[in-house]
Amino acid sequence: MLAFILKRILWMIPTLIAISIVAFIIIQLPPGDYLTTVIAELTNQGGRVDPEQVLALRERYGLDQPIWVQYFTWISGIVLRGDFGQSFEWDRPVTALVMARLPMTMLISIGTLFVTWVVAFPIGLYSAVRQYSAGDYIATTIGFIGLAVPNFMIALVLMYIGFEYFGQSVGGLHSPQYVDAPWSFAKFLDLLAHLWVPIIVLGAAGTAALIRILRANLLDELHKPYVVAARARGVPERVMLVKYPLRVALNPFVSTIGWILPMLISGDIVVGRVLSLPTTGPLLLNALISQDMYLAGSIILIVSVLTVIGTLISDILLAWLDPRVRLNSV
Amino acid sequence: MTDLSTSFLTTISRRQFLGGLGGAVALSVVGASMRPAVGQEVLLEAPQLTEMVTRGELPPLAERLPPNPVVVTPFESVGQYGGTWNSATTGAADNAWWWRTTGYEGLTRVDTTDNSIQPNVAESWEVQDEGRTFIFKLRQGIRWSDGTPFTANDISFWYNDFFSNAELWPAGVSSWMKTPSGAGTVEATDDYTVVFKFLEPNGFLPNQLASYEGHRAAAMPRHYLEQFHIDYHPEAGALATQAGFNTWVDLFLNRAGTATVHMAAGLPGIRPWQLQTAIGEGTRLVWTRNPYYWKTDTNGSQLPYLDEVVLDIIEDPEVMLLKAANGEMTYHIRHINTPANKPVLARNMEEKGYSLPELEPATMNEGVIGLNLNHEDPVKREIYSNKNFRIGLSHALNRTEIINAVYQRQGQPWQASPRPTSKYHNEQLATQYLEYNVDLANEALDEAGYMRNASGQRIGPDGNPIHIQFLASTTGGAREALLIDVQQIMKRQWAEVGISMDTTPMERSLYITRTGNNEQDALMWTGFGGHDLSLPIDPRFYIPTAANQANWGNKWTTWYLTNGEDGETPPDYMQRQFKLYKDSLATPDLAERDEMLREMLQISAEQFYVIGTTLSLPTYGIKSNALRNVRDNQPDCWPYPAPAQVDPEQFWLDLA
Repeated sequence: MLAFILKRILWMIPTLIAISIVAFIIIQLPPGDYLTTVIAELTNQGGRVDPEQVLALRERYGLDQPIWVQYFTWISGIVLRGDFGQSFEWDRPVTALVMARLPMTMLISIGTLFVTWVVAFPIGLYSAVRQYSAGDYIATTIGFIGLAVPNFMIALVLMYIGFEYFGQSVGGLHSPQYVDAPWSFAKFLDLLAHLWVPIIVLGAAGTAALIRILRANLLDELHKPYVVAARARGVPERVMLVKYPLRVALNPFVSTIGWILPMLISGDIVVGRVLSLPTTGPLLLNALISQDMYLAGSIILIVSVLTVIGTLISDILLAWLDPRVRLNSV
Repeated sequence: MTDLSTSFLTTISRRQFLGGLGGAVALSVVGASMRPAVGQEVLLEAPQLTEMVTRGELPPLAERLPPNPVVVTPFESVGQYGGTWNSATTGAADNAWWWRTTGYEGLTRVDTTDNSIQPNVAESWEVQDEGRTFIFKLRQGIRWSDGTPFTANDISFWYNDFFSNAELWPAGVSSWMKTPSGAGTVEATDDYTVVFKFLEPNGFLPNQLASYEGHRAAAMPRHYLEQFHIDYHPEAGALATQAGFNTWVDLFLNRAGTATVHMAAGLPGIRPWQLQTAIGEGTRLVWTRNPYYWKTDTNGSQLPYLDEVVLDIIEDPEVMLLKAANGEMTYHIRHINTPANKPVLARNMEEKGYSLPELEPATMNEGVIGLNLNHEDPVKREIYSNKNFRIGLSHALNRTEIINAVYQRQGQPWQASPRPTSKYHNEQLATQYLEYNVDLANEALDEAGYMRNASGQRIGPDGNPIHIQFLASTTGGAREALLIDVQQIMKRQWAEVGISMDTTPMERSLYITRTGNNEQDALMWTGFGGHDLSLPIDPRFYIPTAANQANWGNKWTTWYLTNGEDGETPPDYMQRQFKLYKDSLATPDLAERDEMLREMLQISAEQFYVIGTTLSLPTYGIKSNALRNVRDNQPDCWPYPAPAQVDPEQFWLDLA
């Protein structure tokens, strides 16, 4: 087992190097650079930009250097000093920008995860055990709708309803009077009053997917001989269900834990933007649009590293949970 | 001086106060005509500031204001203290909007009632040597928001230690501070006198100082920034490392807010409100009142009236629109004020208590068609350079159809020419070849020498059918995206006279790159430079001065910008135009300037370089009904700030 983990960790190194290079190149692929954005922003209003100034800025940001030099400067800063570079647009260290948004991102992600599991588990279980019952059909229908409708669409509709029928302030996580207020119980309640919207929106698709996965897995297991054997021995139905088929059906959950880790950090990009959430998702999107390359590259890199680590963790968990996996993979 | 502890609610007369005797902060003005109501108390400063004075955290008002504060006459009525100006911004890249709302305090400023340049931080100025020397006298007693006096040394610091510093401003001094033989000099001769000297006349300097370009001059507090400057503080490098920056340059630029219109938390300023939020933190930016602001209303009450300005950071314009439609914007003139959004906003106007006042546009045309007169392909260049060809295309355009289909029946056919209300209006330039007439169009195209073949296509000099491929941007300005719709209609109209065209739509960055590389046959862009204020600054559709996305003579632009060292030598008449334009900016004589610009426009009229479509529609703002003292029909005229040009410090919220 230890050799397995060690081998996997060693393999992570070339993977990460490859990821960092690909991420950096992809960000550079679109035509122009951050300065194109600056020029566009200025000329949008009818302003003019001195060509000399553009050249000078290009030099200051190091954009005049070949791409491999830029890459090397960036990556050596990260490896040697833990410095992810400077965001052009915000004129601040990338680390500070990301850290400022991390707590809220994680709060929303963990909340979403929690709600997803709490809702999806019992429903999935129910609709597998009571297959083709009225409840199963209802759960299945809602599940498919949740899967089919894009999250941001649900967000927009909820916001429109809030605006049109309740005159509610849309977007954000706090009412205006609490945005800059120090933390207090009232502010916390205000946060809770706003938090349910993104959590429902973000959780909708995830919940639906989980219900479907759990139902399908459990249905596979329910008809296997070991279930029949357990029943024949007179194990109560509930105990039997939880002890045997459910445990086996859990495998897909465990193998997706790897994806949860990066999701905690990145949040959902489009929903975050639509709902104006103070999470890292919209930060990344904005950085990509304005070609703020160190900010964008660093977020992508961090998320990739977490994906790789998460995958490792879920592999280990899976091997621990299910002896069959261990035998096959090691 | 009145004792601090008893000064609260002491009453004295306004004359006493202005005589410098007043430490009192609240008083009723006896017999003052501008009083809000008889017997009502007139506060001379915001209550929060009075409290701070009482607690001893702030010197009394009389010590904070200049001996002769600038008196701003309220537009409609004397206001009351309090309230928040709510608006929105898309992020740090949108900092121009921050400046347009909270930051217009240059040496000079524009007066939008007559588009003249008026004193501001400078009390007056004198022009000598035919525009080679400018002596600015500064107002005495202006203080930075931390209480330090503002002096001429702050301005010389901006120029000599920032603008002329090769590390901090590697581009070198911006073009508006240069004349043909080199950069100007700036010297503080005493605390309140600053002298700008140039080798040749630079008559446009007061305008530039009043514009976005000049805002830096009065925005760099020397006493605060010296600590980050290596010339004044040898330890600045170590300070930078400590603060997590690579070099002292990075630290200085950050602390001076150079990338964000000289706004940064902790940076003192002389504006009505000061930015409190660290940029990049949180979901909104907050500006609070500057206790040392140096302007008062006619009662002697210190401005601003509004306590704070709050811009929510909202990346998605649709969300911004929803917030505006929900009545959450106090005043907003950006991002979402497009013709397409107007019906949505108008629908909720009454219920949510806001209005949509119109602004004078700075632009003259919704879409100017620029054929590439410097095309790399000699055949295409020959065709596009043929004036009769352009005349034919112009007559072939049914502009009324375009207006009806794309612009909701608003607007009027108009060539690329100053607006009808402008003093530069040129009847010929504005209306020539405007008539939709297929016969005239065919006549002009025949005369150009491009005859039709059997299938009706017109044939170029190389024997191939003429085809014009437009490049267009799908994103960026909402107005520019509409031009793709316009081109669909143009395509059909031009086909009738035997000219084929098509559009390649692309993302904005690619568009900028490709047009920058001179790859387009033709393009369309908003017609800048239609207003008295904007024309001298941006005449790009009268002479090719702009190198980026709205170019139609790229190589001539290069020639002009490099003073003839690079690019292609333009024809004589265009050289004459460039000379007229340069001279118009050099002369300090305003009448002479207008004369030269008119002559320049007349040559444009004769040459007919670009083809206009329709006169720009007015822009509009979203304004809460509770907001008072806003002069609505102001110009929306970058690089002058709307609405900061109409004194937001005297805006107030009537919540009664």
